[in-house]
Amino acid sequence: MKDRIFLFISVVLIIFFVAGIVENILLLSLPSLSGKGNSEQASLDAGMVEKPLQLQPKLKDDILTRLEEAGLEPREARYYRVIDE
Amino acid sequence: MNKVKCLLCPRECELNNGDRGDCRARMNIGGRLQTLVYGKPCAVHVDPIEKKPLFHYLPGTGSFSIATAGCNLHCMYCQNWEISQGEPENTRNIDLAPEDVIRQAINTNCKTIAYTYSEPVIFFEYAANTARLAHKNGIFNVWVTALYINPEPLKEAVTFVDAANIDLKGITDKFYQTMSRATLKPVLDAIKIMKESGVWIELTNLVVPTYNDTAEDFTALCDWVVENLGNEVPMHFSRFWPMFKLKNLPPTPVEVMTRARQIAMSKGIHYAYVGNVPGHEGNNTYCPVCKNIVIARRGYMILDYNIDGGKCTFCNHKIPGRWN
Repeated sequence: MKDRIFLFISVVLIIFFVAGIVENILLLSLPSLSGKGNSEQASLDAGMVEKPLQLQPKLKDDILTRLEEAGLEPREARYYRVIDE
Repeated sequence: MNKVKCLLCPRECELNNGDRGDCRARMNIGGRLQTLVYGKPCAVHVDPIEKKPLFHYLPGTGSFSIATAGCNLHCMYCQNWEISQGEPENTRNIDLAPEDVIRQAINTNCKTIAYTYSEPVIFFEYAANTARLAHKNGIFNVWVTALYINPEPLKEAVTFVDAANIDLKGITDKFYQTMSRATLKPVLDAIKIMKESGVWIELTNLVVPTYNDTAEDFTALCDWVVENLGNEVPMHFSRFWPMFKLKNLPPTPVEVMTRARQIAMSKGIHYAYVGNVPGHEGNNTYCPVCKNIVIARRGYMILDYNIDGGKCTFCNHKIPGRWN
């Protein structure tokens, strides 16, 4: 009887452990589902890259919304050139 | 939508619609480059001008200090990394138009406005408009900057910047690349342009253990300063304190700071200072002729002042700077 209980508890713990790993993998691969904490971390990491961000369309919308919500009022900068493609 | 190329700093980021520059303060929105931080400082304080540090520019006065989020460098030791490496939508900003900055500077009896803490280059438009308004109201403008900027905007900046403390982080390209992901030459060129333009400049070199703390480092740096700027540009050696990505390092030993100053003086630099070591003899300004203390300081505090009409009161030697 004790062996069965021990086996049952072990199986349950393994299931939880595996589920946790799967959940982490899913959340990290889907930024839009990753919640504020991960999103902010990602944005900080993005700030560290050498090249400018190459944003996905969904993320672009997110950022423009965030700028607006943060009360930022973009205005035209100086010292730049338009590159016609 | 058009791609744009930012020409403000040597990075010259090329940005597709929706992309943001390396500084995170400028963004291509709809085919036009937009500054995100105009009139939105995230840090506003009144500091003694000695904190910048500027030791030869209106000593003992207050400096109305502002910064926005973002920076075009990524220094591993940045003490203000929460704002310099952050994005403007993630910092706590206030609405402060140039007119408001001037009003507050006047209300707080500040003689200068300092564009500082992060990097004034990346909030160029805001700094420029504020600075021009400051001049109309008899207030001077101070940049605290790494001066990683292209020549064209720099030529405009020198028309409204009156004094600057420039962070000369090291004297090798390897150091700039390793520590800040930047390059040395544009900084050296910009320093020379600013000096030649008549802006009062003082230099700061943060001494980081194992990175730029050898006698060879100090010698090469001071040689460049003397050769290109002369021996009257004040040189501040600042003690490193563990910050940001370099928390594994110890604070710079005081004896290393003392050695840096001694090497600077042996190279002929008249005004070599030690910062972040309160009570160090290198906090004071000494007359290079009679060797008396013309300004005694402890940290940012002035304890004794012996300059009159820009001259040492002991021997009448002219001390460079703007004193009143």
